[in-house]
Amino acid sequence: MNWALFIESFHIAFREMSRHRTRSFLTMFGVIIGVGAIISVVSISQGAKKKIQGQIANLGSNMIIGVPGSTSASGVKAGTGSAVTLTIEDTQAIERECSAVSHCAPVARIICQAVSELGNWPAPVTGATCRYTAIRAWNVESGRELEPGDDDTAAKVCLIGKTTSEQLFGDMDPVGQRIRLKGTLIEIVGLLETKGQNPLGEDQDDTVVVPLNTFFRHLAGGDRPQAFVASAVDENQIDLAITQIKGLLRQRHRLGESEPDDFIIKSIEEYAEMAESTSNVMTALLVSIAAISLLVGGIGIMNIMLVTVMERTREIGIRMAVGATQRMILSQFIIESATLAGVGGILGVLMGFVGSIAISRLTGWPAIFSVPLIGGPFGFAVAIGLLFGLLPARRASSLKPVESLRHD
Amino acid sequence: MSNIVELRDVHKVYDMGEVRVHALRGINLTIATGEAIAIMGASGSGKSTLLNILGCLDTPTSGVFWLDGERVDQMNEAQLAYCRRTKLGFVFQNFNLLRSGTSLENVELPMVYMGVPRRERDKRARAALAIVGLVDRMEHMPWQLSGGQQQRVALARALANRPPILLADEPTGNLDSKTSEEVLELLARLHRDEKLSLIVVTHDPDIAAYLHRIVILYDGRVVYDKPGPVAGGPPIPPIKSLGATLEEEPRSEAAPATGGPT
Repeated sequence: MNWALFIESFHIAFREMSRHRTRSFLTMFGVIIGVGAIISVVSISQGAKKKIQGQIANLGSNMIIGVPGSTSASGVKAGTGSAVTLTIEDTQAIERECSAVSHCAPVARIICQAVSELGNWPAPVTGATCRYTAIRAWNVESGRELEPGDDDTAAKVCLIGKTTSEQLFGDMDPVGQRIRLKGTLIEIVGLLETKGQNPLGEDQDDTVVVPLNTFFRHLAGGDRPQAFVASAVDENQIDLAITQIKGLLRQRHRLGESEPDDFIIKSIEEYAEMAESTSNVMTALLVSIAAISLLVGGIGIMNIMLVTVMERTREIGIRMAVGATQRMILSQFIIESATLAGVGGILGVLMGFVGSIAISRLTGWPAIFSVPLIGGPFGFAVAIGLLFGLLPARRASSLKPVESLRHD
Repeated sequence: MSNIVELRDVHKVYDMGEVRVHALRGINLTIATGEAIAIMGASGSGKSTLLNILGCLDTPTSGVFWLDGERVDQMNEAQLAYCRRTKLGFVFQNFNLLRSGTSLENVELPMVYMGVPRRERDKRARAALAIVGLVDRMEHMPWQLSGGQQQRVALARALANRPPILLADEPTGNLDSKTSEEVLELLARLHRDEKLSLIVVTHDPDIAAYLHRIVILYDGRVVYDKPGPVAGGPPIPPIKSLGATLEEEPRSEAAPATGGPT
């Protein structure tokens, strides 16, 4: 290894670059854009993913969601939730008999106009047993939680979310106030702490939670919950909990071996994975477009290196005359091309930072950087410089010294 | 004293599609170590072809070529390059300096390919430039130098790797008579002080007069080989008189007369 030549080749590369600043910059442009775009896209999508994961964790701890399955009458499917096979007793049995489940709460939902002394607001009302807030990991900021007794007696009490409270009471403390829902006066006993948006962008703080029996008796009628939420005892037992719940429900619903489930049970992680896989597809698409830009940048480099070799034919002849071998000329030009791409890569990294931070400011998604995220695209750029430098370098090294010396 | 160059029945044929050009037709030439020799000849005599072979820039079609104890005619490209950087220093008519480098960087160039570290290169390049009297022009670019100064930078570059042979191709072709004289005196001094074997290719009898041995080519053969006037030999005969039917062929081998700094 001729280190003197290796170092000198970088020296030559930088000198040639500074001799042709505009040309070099324009040549690098494709690489700059490519590297910058990859870094921006990936850092933002990782930030978005992290944010979604945070929101999903926020939905509830180790949460499992169950809904009744679809009914199929004479072959016409009526859609998920159309079956009314799920009962309150089912949910009680789940909590009692499934060892991997800590809590299980049946839920039902309706939107109805809530009226206070100060205003009115169409509030999503959830009827649920008192376990609901524990499963959702949702604390009461002031006042009290719902209690088992509230459900048993179908007490006219509720919890209220921040958004609904603001709409109905402004800045006033809602605890102790009353709202009218479908003609029933209900007392607010607790204010729920802020939960923010769920991954679908819905405001979770726009809610009223009433005991399930109150819900059935005064607001909606019926006695079948629309779904249930459960929490596994810890995150490693989520799958076990799902298996146990499925087994129990099949048994309770007397389903034969060949009959399909009449319910659907998913963990919140599965929803998270679904959201993630969509965003992964999007990211992959954008990254591949950026990678194509990098490739095109490589072709730009190859083009300008071919021009350089033409222009410097005489120089190559001189270098050969004083003792450079073909290999030495080859490596010099490959180093020049890789240096060009490498400098483009560094500028691209800077552009990636600027771009990510700008997008982050604009959208509110965090930008997340990592060593592989910076090193990967930069390495890719250098590799492209090496690859596309090969042809021009081969052309340079195959010049005949006698003829090159005569070239002007 | 051993021979630095030995050519035996060297032929060179250029195959140009339809036409085959027989540029060298059996050259036999022996040059002793430390000799100073002029290779003369008109255009088309084959002297440029011979220069390229002696300079390891090209290989003979047939024949045997020994250079400083090594057989060159069968060498591959990398071995030829090795010969060029260790055994030969080149001086060209049009100087052939790298226009993007200073005098110092140009002189360092052969040492780069030898793998000499930067500091050592710098030291040796300064010494070489001192020999040719350009101490005050080290950081100048070629275009800031006169023709004579450029040729002296080229000479310093040729000396950089301390080769045993200095090969000069019309070294004064682009210089005025006064500068030519300076360069030739420098060449003569280098031959004397640095114990270099000196091979000068020229068509100019005034230059040849500085050298100890005159070899004249005609039509690819050696037709004259005698000591030069400075070594007590006969006066150099006019080249044209050696070829009975010499025609002026279009010059295709020499660099343009108006080459200038490059």
